[in-house]
Amino acid sequence: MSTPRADLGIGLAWVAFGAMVLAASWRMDRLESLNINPWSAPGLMPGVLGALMTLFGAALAGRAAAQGGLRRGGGSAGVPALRTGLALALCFAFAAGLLGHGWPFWLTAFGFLFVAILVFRILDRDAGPPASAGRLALSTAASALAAAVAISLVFEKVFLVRLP
Amino acid sequence: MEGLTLLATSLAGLLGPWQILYALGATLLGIVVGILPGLSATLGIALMTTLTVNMAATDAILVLVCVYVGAIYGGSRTGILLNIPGTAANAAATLDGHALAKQGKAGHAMGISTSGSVAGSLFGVMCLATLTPLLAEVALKFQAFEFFWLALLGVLMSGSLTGNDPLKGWLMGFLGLFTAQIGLDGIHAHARFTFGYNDLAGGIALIPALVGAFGFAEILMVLSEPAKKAAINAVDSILPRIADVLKYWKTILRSGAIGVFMGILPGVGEDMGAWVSYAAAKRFSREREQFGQGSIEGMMAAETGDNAAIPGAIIPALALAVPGSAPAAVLMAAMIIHGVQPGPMLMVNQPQFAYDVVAITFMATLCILLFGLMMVRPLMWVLRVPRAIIMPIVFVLCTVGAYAIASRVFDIWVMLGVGVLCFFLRRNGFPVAPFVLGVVLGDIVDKSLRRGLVISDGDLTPFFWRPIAGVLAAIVLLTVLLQFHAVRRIILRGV
Repeated sequence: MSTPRADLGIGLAWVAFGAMVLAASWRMDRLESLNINPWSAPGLMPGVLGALMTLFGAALAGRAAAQGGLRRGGGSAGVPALRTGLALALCFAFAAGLLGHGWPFWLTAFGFLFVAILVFRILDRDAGPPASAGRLALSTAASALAAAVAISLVFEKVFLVRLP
Repeated sequence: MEGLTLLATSLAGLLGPWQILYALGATLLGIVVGILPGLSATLGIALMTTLTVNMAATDAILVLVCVYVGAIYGGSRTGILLNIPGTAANAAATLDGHALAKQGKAGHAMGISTSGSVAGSLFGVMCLATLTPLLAEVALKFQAFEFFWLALLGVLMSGSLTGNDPLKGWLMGFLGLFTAQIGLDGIHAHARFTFGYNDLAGGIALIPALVGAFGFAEILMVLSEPAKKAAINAVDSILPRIADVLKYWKTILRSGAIGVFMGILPGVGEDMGAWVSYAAAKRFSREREQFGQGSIEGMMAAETGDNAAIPGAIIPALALAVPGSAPAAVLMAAMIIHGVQPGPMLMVNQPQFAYDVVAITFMATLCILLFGLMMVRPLMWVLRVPRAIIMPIVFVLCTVGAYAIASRVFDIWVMLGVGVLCFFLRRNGFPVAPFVLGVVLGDIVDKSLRRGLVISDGDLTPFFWRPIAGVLAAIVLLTVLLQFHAVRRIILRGV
């Protein structure tokens, strides 16, 4: 799925990230005031990893450049924007937007499940048997309600796990 | 003799009604997880770790091992019927399994899958019982130098073998190792990369990161692509045939041994167990031309290999605290959550637990045999549930799974962040398994490097000249260097 041009960009991003980790590790407190053994300084391992990410990121970028990554028009691997955007928006709206605001979990989960299942069933309708709009909405609501209530009950009542 | 007594005690402890119920339920759940494309054994174990957090340690591990064994077994169903492996471990079995299904022998293929999986798993259980104490005894001689190389080897091997591009695999491994450095360091409790946030001081918790990497990223992968029409073939008799087992007993033994070996190698896992067993079976077969066209021997080898790799991957997780595969890494993390400390001292401090795991894996094997005989047709309905229904439900489970262990909303953010990152990296050919191994092994690598340097006062030679450390260092260096054409050419010319 990847292309040399995408690998070049991602390789350079690894180099930048590795260099930042290396710099932050170098500047990290070496706890000299505590008289610790200098070889046990907390920044040692992150520094090694930063250096390795910089080195291997540069190798990835160099290889991609040699494979034609510098040429224009190589483009990165396409991501289906509508479907990905919808999936991201729905998931973030539920997990980051709705949860933790005092509403019952089953209700929040039902709302998310109903919308998400309905949206993707409509988008996937070519793959399954055709259904009328009313039937689709009704069966989606039933699936969403059953799943939301079952998850709440199983986690909270059976396994005594706290829900967000 | 002492081992047999401990094993008998463990087996007796699993005969309670609740334990049998847990084993049956968890294996069934694992098979469903394996059947559903997009859900992996790793995600199944991670989510069930959350659900079992309040259970007794042995019961929780019973549930998790049964999910593990069930998922690897169940994944072949989807491969046979839809030509889509349910988990990565079932890709090799799909080659011949789907070819058999197209010939109207889907049931026969499932029977071979059952007999191969049970045979492989039983072979692996025997190795788990015998090799774990031996490996733990050897590992008692290990110091920080050996553990450093062993953990690094796990991450690098996983990077080399789980994707198509070792360079990308290693980078993911390093990212995982770095992720494990965030929070208070394990020696001086100094805050690293926390930027003043209290939530980050606790570190990036393993389960939310795993759920993000294997759950949320996979949900985004599946939902971002249009659905394909599923075509399920008719199913003939699903009963495993003893004649197949007797005819291919050499293949079963060879594949079992290969599967266990691939499982023991740090970070390699079940999929390589299946592929290497398949390749070896093809190499030695008299029916070589049938491989890929519906070969019973090929399918038997792949299914024996991947299931034998499960106990194989648990062996180093128990004896060395270095897991053999990504699912075994989560299993090991779950053991730690439940107060068990895997590693060389396990056989000294908690030998009963090691034999509990042997007995549990044996019980999981019996469960897949039972479900393989009885539940093949009823389980087929799972394949008919549209993914547009399954994936949002799995996302709700991921959210709960990330939150429940520590009841921190921050962990939900970790799951979302890691998920989005892994989604974009996966789309560009970066494998996720080395990242997971890195997160699990990051603490060992960090502490071992610094302890080793403190012991040697900054002298690097013990990392290379101690016998076992030297061998491990050579393997690590060769693993990396052999990926470069120029180095390979020089070595081959020398040979």
